[in-house]
Amino acid sequence: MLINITFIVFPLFIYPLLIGIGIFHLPFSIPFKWFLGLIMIGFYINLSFILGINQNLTYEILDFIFILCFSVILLKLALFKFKINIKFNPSKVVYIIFIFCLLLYSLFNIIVNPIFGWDAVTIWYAKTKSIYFWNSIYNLPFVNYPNLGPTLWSYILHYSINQEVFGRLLFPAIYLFFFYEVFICFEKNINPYLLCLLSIFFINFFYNIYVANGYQDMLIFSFSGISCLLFLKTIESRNVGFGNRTFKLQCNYITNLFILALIGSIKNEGIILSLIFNLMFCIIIIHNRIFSFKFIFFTFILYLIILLMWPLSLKVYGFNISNIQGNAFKFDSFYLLLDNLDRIPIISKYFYNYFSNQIYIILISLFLTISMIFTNKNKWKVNLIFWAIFFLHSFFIFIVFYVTREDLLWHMDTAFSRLMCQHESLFVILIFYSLSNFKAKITKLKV
Amino acid sequence: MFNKIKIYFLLNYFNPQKLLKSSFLIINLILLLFLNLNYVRDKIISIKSDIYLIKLKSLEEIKKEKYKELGYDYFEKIASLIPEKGMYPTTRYKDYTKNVHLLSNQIYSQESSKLIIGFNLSESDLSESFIAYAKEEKLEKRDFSLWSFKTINDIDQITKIKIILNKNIQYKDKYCNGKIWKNREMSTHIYEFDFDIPSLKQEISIYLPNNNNNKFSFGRGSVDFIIQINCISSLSINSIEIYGLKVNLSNFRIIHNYNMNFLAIDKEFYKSILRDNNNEWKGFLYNLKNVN
Repeated sequence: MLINITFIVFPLFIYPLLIGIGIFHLPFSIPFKWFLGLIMIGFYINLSFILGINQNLTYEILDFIFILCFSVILLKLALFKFKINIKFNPSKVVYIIFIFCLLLYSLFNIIVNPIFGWDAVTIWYAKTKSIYFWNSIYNLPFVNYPNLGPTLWSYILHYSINQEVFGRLLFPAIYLFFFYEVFICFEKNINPYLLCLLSIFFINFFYNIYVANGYQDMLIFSFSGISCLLFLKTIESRNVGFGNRTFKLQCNYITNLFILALIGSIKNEGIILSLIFNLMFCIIIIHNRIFSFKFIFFTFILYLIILLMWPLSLKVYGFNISNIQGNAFKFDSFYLLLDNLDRIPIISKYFYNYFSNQIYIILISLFLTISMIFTNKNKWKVNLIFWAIFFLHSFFIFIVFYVTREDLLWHMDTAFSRLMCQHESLFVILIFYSLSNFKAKITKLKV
Repeated sequence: MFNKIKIYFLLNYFNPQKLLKSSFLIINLILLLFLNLNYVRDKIISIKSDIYLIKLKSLEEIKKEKYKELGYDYFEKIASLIPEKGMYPTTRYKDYTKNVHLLSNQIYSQESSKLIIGFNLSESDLSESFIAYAKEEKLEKRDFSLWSFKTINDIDQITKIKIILNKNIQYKDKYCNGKIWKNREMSTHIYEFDFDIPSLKQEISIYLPNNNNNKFSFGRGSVDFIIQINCISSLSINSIEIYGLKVNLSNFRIIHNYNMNFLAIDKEFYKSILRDNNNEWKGFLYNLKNVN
């Protein structure tokens, strides 16, 4: 068993890292390159599956890319001298050890708890198995649901052994990567001990059953969080004068759009979440005149193509996409808007309970936003954008339950908390962003 | 002593400059660990027991133990004996299907309706029983009445609809017609029935024909079925009860029992195996003796 566990290290950590470092010469940290490599692999296999390319050919090309990347890295090491500038401080060491321990804990927990939840087994693992055996798109279970999570899951099974538990480590790994990135992003502006303390608190606070049980919602949580971090990097690095700035800004922005577009390949409702995020980000980017309108328009078209990749391919294959979420939603569900007024109190009750449970996080975020408005006249707009995303997505969730054709109570009991947790990473970033600006303000005042 | 500690924390927590001091934060970090000692201890115990289990058992053994209630072990034993590759028996539970075939490492792509594995089913699940009450839908126009019911669990057949009329109302001979619709869209109906209301009767039982389709309600969650009742003149219905068969084994023969689980085979298929001297399937029937 313990030998089998070591097999996951290659597909989950080493191969994506090879791709991330070997192919992309982008100004990102090594862990971020790992993440980029991983999602590129997922995107590639997903695309190959959609296009109906043979499985052997797909994985042979991937093997070739791995070897190529490995050679490129060796060549780089031989030809150039690399300076590895990793600065460790005690808080960072504690934090990394904590993340590593939690990853191990997740691994053991996953192994002794084989997959169980209805959606996890019937939808996501069934899709994973189907992609693992490379069935035709016509034989894909729940074909209207997108495939990025199951594709990555099946990729890990392909390179380790066909035991679902090994692929599931992917989800906590991405969740923990998001929190690692949070630490890296804010370590210069927030006291590292405070950052470590709060990050550990947040990791535990948001770590729930959906992180590792095969559901896809926490994957959206992590993706949207990472996207927010890239957005902050884009708008923050605009003011920093370093060489080749435009290239770095464009890299951040395009990578951000790519990650946002992939949210639509995780779950159908991710398309709406992604559009909300992008719309809000675009407002700030256009307002701050970071990029030319032409550049924004061109990248937005590319973003839309990747975002709608799955529904468009379903259309091409002749599937009916009007009932994209099965029985629960159809486009004509919206005709029922006036018939369902009696649902408002029921849905409101669930929202009330949600706000009651998250009251501390929401109040702290609100307090920090108000503080920002009074102390930092330029940057509070970003906080406002985060709140706008939160309210718009909450409103979308409200509409989802308002028009659902399933039994309302049953549907809310089974899906409400999962849907709401998709955007909760916003609060983590909002709190840290406000704290970082608060600290910067104090420093500025002292000077 | 405690007062000093209190004062220390009060002074620090309300002093923004000290709040961001490293030494104070380290103390907080240690305090956080100390306060969550039970939590940390629980996590360590959990990891220890997990590692112990991983050392002791293989993945397959862990799966068998975890999926005991789903009948994973029994399913694997039966499915592995089936001569046609990728075929697996239909599985039936007390509530709803658990897709146990997906949990296996083997690829099972073809569900066979000729074999049924029942897990923890009782006698009442195999005979006609009460399924649900229907709830009247409020309608503005009263040309017909609509009633909705949900099954939640998987049901093979609806066998009977019992209509209970309001008391103290005398109905002379009346002719009515009813339909059961698949969902609220009311675009496809599953059953259509006619019935007369004899005078002085408050209860009408309508027996629905066996339509040989054993999947009346499968994996529906809580989507409503709709009953539409049209009568020549208005009818005052008090309630409607739905009766049905959770698992319909009328065309099946149970050929293997193990604990509370059983394997049933389609009678015609069973006869054809014996008649056509199908050696592969005969081997399957023979090997069932070794399943325990």
